[in-house]
Amino acid sequence: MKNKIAELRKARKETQEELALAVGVTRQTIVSLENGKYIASLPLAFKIAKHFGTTIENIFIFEEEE
Amino acid sequence: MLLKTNISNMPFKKVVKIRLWVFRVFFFLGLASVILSKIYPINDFIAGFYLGFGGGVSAVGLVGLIINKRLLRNEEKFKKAEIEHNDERNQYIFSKTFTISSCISLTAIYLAMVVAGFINLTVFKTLFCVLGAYLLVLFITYFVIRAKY
Repeated sequence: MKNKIAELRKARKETQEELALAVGVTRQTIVSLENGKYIASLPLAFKIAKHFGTTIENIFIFEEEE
Repeated sequence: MLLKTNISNMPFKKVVKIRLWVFRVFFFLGLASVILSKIYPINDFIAGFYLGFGGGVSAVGLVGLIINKRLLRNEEKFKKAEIEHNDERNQYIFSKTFTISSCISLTAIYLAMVVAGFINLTVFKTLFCVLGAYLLVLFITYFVIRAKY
């Protein structure tokens, strides 16, 4: 699962700490999400999408296993 | 560790209040253990164990009490601790850690039990009981949690 969190965050000139605070998680969680090490839960994905004013599909790219 | 992650979706203020009670119990149990080791005539090894272990538990209780009392007084620190407590990655790490460490412990106890069978029957029986109790708790917890979801 890839995502555009880092891209969207940088476009808004927002720090990881600010994004973390806005969606109610720790900065480490944002770091892990951006690195693709951790996949967000559905509620968190909704919060992130709402924060960026877009849809989940525009942020998270689901890659089906072959 | 259990007190550090949100496993019950309880409001954080309530969690901190429960923590305060748990740490109070830790403090007094540890203190009782230290006092007992001093006044009750038991062998030196056990007295030393009660003294050291009790002192440690008591210290953990005291530090926990101070930290959590401070949390209730400082709104900024409280908010930060709340986010850390509710953070889903922390919960995932905790759950994964617990699962893996349980599997390792279970395997280690089983292997120790098998080896003990060749060496000492009392150790074998003790480990057998520990393993049995562990599995019983595991199955009961599994069925309780399964019924919940």
